[in-house]
Amino acid sequence: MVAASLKNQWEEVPEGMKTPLIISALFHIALVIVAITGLPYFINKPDPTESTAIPIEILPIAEMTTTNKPKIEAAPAPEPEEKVKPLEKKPAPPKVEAVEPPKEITPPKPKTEAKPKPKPVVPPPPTEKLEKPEEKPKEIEKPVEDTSQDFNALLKNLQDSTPEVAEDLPTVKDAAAPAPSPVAPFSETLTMSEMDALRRQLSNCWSIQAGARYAEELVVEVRLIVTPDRRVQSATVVDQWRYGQDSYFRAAADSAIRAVNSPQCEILQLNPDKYDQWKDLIVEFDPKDML
Amino acid sequence: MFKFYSAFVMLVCLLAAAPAQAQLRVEVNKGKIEPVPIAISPFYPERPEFAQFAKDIPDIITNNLRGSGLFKPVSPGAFIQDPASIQKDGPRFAEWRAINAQALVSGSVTKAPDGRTRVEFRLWDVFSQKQISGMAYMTTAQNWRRIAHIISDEVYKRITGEDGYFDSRIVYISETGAATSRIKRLAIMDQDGANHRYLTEEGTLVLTPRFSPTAQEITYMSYKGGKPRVYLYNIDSGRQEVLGDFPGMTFAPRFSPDGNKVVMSMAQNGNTDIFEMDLRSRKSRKLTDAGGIDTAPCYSPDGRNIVFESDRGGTQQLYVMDASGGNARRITFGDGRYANPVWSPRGDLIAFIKMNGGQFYLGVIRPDGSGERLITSAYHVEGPSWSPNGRVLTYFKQNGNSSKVYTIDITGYNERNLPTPRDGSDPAWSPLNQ
Repeated sequence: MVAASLKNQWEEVPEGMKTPLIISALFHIALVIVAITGLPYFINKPDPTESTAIPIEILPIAEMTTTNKPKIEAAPAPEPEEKVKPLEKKPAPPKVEAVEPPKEITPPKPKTEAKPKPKPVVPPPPTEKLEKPEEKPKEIEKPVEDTSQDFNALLKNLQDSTPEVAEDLPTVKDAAAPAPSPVAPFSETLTMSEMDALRRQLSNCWSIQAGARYAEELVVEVRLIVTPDRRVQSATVVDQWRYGQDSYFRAAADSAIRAVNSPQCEILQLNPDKYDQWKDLIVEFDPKDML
Repeated sequence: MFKFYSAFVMLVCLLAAAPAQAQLRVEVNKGKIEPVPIAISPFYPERPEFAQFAKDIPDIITNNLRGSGLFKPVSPGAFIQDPASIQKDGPRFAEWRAINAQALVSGSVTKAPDGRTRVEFRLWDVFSQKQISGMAYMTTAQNWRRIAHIISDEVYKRITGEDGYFDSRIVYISETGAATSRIKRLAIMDQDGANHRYLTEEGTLVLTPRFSPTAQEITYMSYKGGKPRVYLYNIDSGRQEVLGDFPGMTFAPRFSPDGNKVVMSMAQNGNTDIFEMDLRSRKSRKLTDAGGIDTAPCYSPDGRNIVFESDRGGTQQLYVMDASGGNARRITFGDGRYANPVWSPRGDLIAFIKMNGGQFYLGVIRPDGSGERLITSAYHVEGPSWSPNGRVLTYFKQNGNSSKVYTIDITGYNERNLPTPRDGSDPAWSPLNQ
């Protein structure tokens, strides 16, 4: 009955209007679909680091997440598009010296790399031990402190009675920071234990130099493309413009790249079953907890 | 055609609607505070006569970088690849990685077509397996030590991001003799103690040398002829001139960052105040007028502020005021007395001497008065002076009749005695050599 009525109405529509009507209807349908399912992500990607703060001590953490889903087949990691550009323009020579930059040598690919990794040789201890003055009795004194920027944890202060020991525990914010993909099923997201293991591993590979100026501003994001066997295939500093402009940032970025390329971080501590989650990830090196 | 078009539009819409998979982010907020392990290979000598340079230059670089506290040179005994092989084929990174070197310095010494010596170095990132810096210098053979310092600065800057300080000098007061008849001479040396020489003769009391920030010039106080005068000494030419007579002055003036002005304290009518003098017009202006003793002024590196010590509040404390005078605010509130403030060339810290409980301390504090840290102490510590990059302080410690010059990194963990032929005091660090 209704169909017949619609058919009659459709026949009453002038021939010239039918095509525009169909197109209009299709676009309306498409618009509704986009609005319902995808528009928020289409325009503004949600910040994946935002998530509700969950107190670590009360959160039950499973070491392994069980799942009934079929195993994800390990696909070869995509080739990274970006390549790290040559790092720097050679500095100008000092006036007093005649200077010419040497041509760059392209070292041959070492044959030994194809073979299994040689066992690291433990280097002999440094020939000279740095002098450290004896700590003197402490003074009872309360200087004006700005704890938000205090780098006493790193730097010597004879006023402190005991040296502060950097703890390895992540902060609450740390634990909450890395949010999994909003669409990935819970069983496929990295657990907090897994995130902490990776964070701890990278922390141990990251060398920071104490006393750097404005260290709080030297936050480096590195994009990692990781192969299914959990090796870093490529590591790229996200902010290439600043890398080329700011020598402090470049030094900090180089230390971050060295961290992800270091032997201790050669194989990342990641759950192989969740390759889709970590095959392409951003690591943010921010020394804020050390300042 | 229309159906195809409609289907295409729908497909595009659906694909666009599929929520993008968010990229995983990991935030790493802690690292290890440790020096960078660096391998400094002996350089490759093109000819046998360069063999000594090829060994000595890397030795100086090693000593410099180790002394900074930011690098941990790997022992050469662990090196697997030899300099000739590096020169010919480039580094075999796996071997350098195996000995835990994160960076590698290699180089060569050859003869330039014009007969001079050509020293070339390359800095390699071992983990990334690429060259990250490289320079060549042509010079006469006598300058080999300076070349080593310049290379050290390049390596330091490339890895830390900050300018180095190795190609610089330290002027100080050389002392000898009994306490009652101390002989003091002005002396200068490289920052590592090499190339030591005296600038003034024995027999005249000299005090408080200060380097100009813009030229290889020193001001110092001299009691030549029994009269205290401020002299200006040009290191390159050896020329000396009297800057002026300043009755009542006990310290040499400090230069402004542009080198055009000096700031000093002078006692007049029983009150010590701070004065500024324009070196071009030689006109001076009084900057403080408070009761009490205002002394030891020092400019901030941007020239906008002056830090000084004053007992106007009842105890000897540090104050910061505008460079034009006025708006003085106290920045230290701890127990004891604070003196001898010196603003860091990078502006973030002020070094000072603190006296408390019969002990002297060298400390640093931020210009707003926060973050006070005492980094070394002794029976008597005095005369802090910053390295050109603001990372290291030089000062002297006195114990009985003996005084020695020291350096210490601002972290406070790398204090070193600077070897001098005799006792030393009042060190002043030069800007980087031009």
